Amino acid sequence: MTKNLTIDEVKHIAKLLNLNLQESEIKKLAGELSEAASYVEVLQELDLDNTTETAQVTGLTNIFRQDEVKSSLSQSDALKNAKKTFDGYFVVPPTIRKK
Amino acid sequence: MPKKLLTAILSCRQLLEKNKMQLNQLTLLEALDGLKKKKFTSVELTQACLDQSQKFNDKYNIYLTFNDNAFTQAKQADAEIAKDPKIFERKPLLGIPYALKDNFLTKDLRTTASTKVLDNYIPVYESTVSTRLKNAGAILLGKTNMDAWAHGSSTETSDYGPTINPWGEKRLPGGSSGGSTAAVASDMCIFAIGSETAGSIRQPASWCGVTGLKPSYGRCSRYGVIAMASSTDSPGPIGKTIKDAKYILEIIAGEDEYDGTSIKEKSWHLNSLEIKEKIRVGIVTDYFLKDAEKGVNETVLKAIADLQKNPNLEFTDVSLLDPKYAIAVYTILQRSEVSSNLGRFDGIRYGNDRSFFAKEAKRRMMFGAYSLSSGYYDAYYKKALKARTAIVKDFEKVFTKVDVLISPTSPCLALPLGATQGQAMFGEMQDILVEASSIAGLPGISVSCGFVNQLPVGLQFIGKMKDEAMIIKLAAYYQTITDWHKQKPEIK
Repeated sequence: MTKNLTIDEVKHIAKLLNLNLQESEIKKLAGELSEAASYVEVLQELDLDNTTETAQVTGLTNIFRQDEVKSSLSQSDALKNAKKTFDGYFVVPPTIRKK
Repeated sequence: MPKKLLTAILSCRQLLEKNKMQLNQLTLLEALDGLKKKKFTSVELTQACLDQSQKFNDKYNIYLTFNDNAFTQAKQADAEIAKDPKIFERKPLLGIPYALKDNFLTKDLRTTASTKVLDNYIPVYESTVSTRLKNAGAILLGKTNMDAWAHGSSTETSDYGPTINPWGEKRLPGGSSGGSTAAVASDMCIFAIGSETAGSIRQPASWCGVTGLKPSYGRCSRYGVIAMASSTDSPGPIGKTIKDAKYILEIIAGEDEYDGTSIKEKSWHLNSLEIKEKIRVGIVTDYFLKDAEKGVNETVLKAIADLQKNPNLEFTDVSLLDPKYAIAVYTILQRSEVSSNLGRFDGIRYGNDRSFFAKEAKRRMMFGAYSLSSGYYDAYYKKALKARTAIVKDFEKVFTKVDVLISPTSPCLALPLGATQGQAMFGEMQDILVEASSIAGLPGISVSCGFVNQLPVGLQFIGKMKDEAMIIKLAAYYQTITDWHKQKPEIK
């Protein structure tokens, strides 16, 4: 299953993660990710065809609570750490730009 | 000389010796006893910890942020103690100063998780663990250094520089809770809180020669802890003795409505540490690695020989899955969960933007996103989830034959500064003996069991799911027959 990651693959993953990487970083990461991938290769040795998956170990299922309104953060607390706010809102970077 | 007189002189000498001891060097139970009997005040105790921190924090880089209100809170604690002699029944940690790993949110006190992404982050709410400690009367001294985002086993990947191991000026403390274990080892606090995803309490406890208790997954709430790998993150106590760690666990453990994965038991208590019944102890032969650092395996075997003197303990060799599979599973699952958990840090609502991530976080997110991405999900993530089942079942099988497992905590001693450079898999290799039990959510303890080249060696106990009682009893017994945990580094 393991193969060496290509530069394009690394760029694609960085895009998925919204990370701006330098060309030098991309090259280095291709090597390091390939190395990490080689470490996990050993899982091929295990016969897991009839094994179920474990996502969590508590054995708990369907943890719900009553749908009651409880006190939560005030607007000023929620905005307290934001770099840019306007009229009680967070200011976010534009996602659509005019051409 | 008459025997009576001799005894009197000896006890007098012991008392003098005791007085020489600094207050910050006390264990939690000793400090509580002193406060209850009014031998000293919380202000004096807090001052002793702060003095030690002021003297040595620049050099050891243990605290990132101090709580400016610690002294005022100590004064309030003293007033409460003076007013109500029964106050400790309601506030079992009243007046006790402690250190908190910097990934626990503290309302109005900067919390960075040692990353520049959160350099100026002031939380507007408090973690459940620190809330419970506060309600019990504990006094927060400050927030301790860690690997950035808890990604690591060295505290060297902190964006604020490495913490220095009190046992060696050029040695790493381990990690990711290295600041907290170093704070306990250097007596800059009475106890500390850490968190473990796979080794982050036990491994630095081993390297710093203190007692680290990683509870079962879900025993202590994750609410308000900056998430690393949510399916294994486990907050836990770091103490000078296992009795201290147990005392703290009783306060921080228990169901939390803010954490849906917390174990559905209101509280957790252990009334007696006595070993009355026969206990079957499994020596994990696979964890005595052939290429372990010289002296580590031998020191742990000597500790096991000491334990064998107790007729109630029956020892057998047991075998577990090769730890290399746990490394593979952990590498995939942890990085996958990291890539998802760190997705929320966009610098809009708090913190800095994504250009502030350092290389280790980027590396982990990248591998995680890769293993979750279309075309690789089945080969990596799904396969790891299945292998996780195999690891859980492997422990279940061994626990039909024995009640508790014993092994070294770390295959090596505290490594020199700089050891992580250029090592993409550094943490995984250091945590080789603790990862499987973390993946299975099991409780574990590391206690100091001797020294090699003046550096501490850790002895590990692993218990069944939710069976903290068993490992605590064994560790407590070990600390009654040895005094390795009482050894202190020379801080200068």
